[in-house]
Amino acid sequence: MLLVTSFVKYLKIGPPLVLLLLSAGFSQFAFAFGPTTTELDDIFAIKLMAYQQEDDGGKAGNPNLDEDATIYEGVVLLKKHVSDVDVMTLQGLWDQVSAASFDDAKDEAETVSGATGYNPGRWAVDLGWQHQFSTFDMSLNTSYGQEYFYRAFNLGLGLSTSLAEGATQLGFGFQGFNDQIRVIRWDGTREDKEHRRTNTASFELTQILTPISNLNLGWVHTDQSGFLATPFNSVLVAGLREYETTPNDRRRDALSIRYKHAFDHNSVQLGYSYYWDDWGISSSTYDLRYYYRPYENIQLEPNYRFYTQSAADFFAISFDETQEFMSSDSDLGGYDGHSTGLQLYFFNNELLGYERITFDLGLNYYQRSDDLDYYWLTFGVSFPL
Amino acid sequence: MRIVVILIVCLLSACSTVRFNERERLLEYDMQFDPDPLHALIESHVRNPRQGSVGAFSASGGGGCGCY
Repeated sequence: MLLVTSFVKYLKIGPPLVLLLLSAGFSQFAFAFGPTTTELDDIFAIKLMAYQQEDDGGKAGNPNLDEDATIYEGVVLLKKHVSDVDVMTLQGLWDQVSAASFDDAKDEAETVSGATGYNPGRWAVDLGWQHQFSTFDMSLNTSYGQEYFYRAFNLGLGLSTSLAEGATQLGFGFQGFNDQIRVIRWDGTREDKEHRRTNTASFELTQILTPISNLNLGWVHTDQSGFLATPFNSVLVAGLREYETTPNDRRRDALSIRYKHAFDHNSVQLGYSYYWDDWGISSSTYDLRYYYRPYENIQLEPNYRFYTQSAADFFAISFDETQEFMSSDSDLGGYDGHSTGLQLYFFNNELLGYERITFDLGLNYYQRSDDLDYYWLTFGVSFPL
Repeated sequence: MRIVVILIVCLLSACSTVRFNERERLLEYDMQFDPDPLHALIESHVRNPRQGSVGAFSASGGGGCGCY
């Protein structure tokens, strides 16, 4: 991972050109378009990710903390029709996190979410079922995941339907999480287990506008309650380290709009999202993606995203005196972020007797105004069943 | 906000005339919103834990990750 990030830094041209160069070697594969919408309903897919976070020698983000981190993640998805009207989905996830702050946990607080250090890592399994009724689809899912300091159980329900001869698609979803938190403090103190409940309702509308354009609108509302602080986070109060404290409730809302427009075999997607919550954070996300098909079996997807957020009401790098709520987690601070990346898809390959295989490769870079930098590299394989 | 609502209503009011045989381009891979489900999942795993917000371009509202 270090080699990859050093290579990208050295080139100073960013991930897009690196992957453009790589794409030249794959252009000789067979000709065909990408997976159809029907093929996406019966699919096996695997994706691997390597993530590197650098905090400029400890000065970026929270200057009282070393926030360097490395994460490796693997995700597997199996989606298959079991009858004409029933689809089963099985998804598995595994993470391994190592963070500089983990090694310093006795002296400095942990802020990288769920750093696993020498623990077995984080894993999660999600099982879903979707049934097509005459006028609407219904889906149910349940998942379980765990890491060294939490266990998470989830139930979900989704309803979707089409109107105006399929020109309008409406979707409603509900996801409920019950997380059990092991309260292990930065100084090793262990307290009673706590619970965190997260209920999310979502609404989505996708509308065909013209033969070459469509629109997607989304609204997400979340209510959280229980122990919402990160147990191993700490704050500096008059030079002494204390535990992070946050309110026990949080209401969060996000509105999103995305627009797609086709130009021959290429297309562009514009997106904007606004978020607000009752902790005082509001944010805006601007997203631009271009889908470029230089050959019929290759798609390049360069993207740029600008993100800006205000700080939580109780955020500060340090505090003069103890307050009811206090956090120095840089993710709750105010900052701007620029991210750019390139996703590269190679469609319709053949390997080991399987056909219509899609390979994908992605490289992304994120820079925050508080000088935290992230890189992540992805590699995926998928094929219809 | 009112302008946004009016704009959306105006856009949607012009949509019902696209017939089935005119939708061929819209069925292609690049015209789907999030056609690669694992790409969207990985993106949310990278971005959501490192920012104070959730729910941008996804139905994810937090929970299940030990993070905010």
